[in-house]
Amino acid sequence: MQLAAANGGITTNAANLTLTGTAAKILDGANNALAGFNNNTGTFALSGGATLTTASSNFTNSGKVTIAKGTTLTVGGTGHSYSQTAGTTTVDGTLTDTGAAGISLTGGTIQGAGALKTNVSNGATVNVGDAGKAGLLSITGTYTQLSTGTMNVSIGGTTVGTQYSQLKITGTASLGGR
Amino acid sequence: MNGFTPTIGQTFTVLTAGSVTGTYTNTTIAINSSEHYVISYTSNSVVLTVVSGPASQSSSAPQAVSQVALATKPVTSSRHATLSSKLQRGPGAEKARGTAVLVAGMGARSGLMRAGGDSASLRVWEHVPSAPSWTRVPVVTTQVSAPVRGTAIVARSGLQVSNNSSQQGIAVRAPLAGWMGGSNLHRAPVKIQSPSLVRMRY
Repeated sequence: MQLAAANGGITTNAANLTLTGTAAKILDGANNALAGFNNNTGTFALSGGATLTTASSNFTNSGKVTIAKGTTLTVGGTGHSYSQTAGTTTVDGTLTDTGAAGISLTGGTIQGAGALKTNVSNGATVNVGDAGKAGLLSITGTYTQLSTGTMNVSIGGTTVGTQYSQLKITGTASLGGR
Repeated sequence: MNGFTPTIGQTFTVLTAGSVTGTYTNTTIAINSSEHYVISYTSNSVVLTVVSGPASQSSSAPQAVSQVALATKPVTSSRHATLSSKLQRGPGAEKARGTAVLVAGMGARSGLMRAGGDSASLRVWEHVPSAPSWTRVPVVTTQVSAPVRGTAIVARSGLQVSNNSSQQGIAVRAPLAGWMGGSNLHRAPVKIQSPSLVRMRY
């Protein structure tokens, strides 16, 4: 998809926007229109192997972000974080923050059975696995659960990852909350 | 989830990490009215263990699995005794009669005592025997050629020997200041009649 005229691209999505397929992109002229995408208040989804890298600033979600299995959302740049103040982020693929500022969850829910390749601070809710399902959610980095944070797991059997949930962290888990 | 009901003792490692610091504020998670999860921690994981009983109200102090499991272990034997606070009302309290008390460190059977019961019952302190000041020890009579030896034995042991012929054996009393002298008690002389000699057997 290509915007009719180069206008600096999309920084805020308040609509329903889905990138499907490995070659899916939105162009702003010849440039990636979503390179400056930093605020989602609507619905944004990656599916079918799509990838997106943002670079301009921190990414804030207060809507619904879905990163399906096999897709990757990368918050690029230096010191840029993925911040969620409300809404839901579903990660069955990969959410990466190359700026190492990490994921800051102050509202809403992060859930899924994918990979969070950065440090995570949970002051809201992390559901390990998708809604109503068990899953294995990995964190490459540290996990800090604040006193306001909650971690939910699903247990429907004795097999880890498929029948019951597990949060797998490579670094230190600093626990609080529930 | 999906109608799955875990069995008591099953464990679920719900978090693994390079290291784990801190704890959750809740210590238990409800499953149903007869089971709940207890949260425990290792240096690099968080484990849920299924234990019996309904989940208790959340407490701030986490407990080890073994401790909680022990605390919630159901009473399955009718012989199992319970501790009754009524015992604190004193031995004369009517309702304390016949209440079984499980004494720590004893089995349920051996630890049963009656408190505040009928006149034949004894309270705890009444089971403690009082130490008699005089103890009977068996004696033998033998033929000896040197009666002095018997006297020497008594003197070294520090025992006092009472020659009470109305009782079997000889009553022996330890001196209040100890067995090895230092007592100001008068020692009763032992009369040794030759050729018989009283010998003590320890």
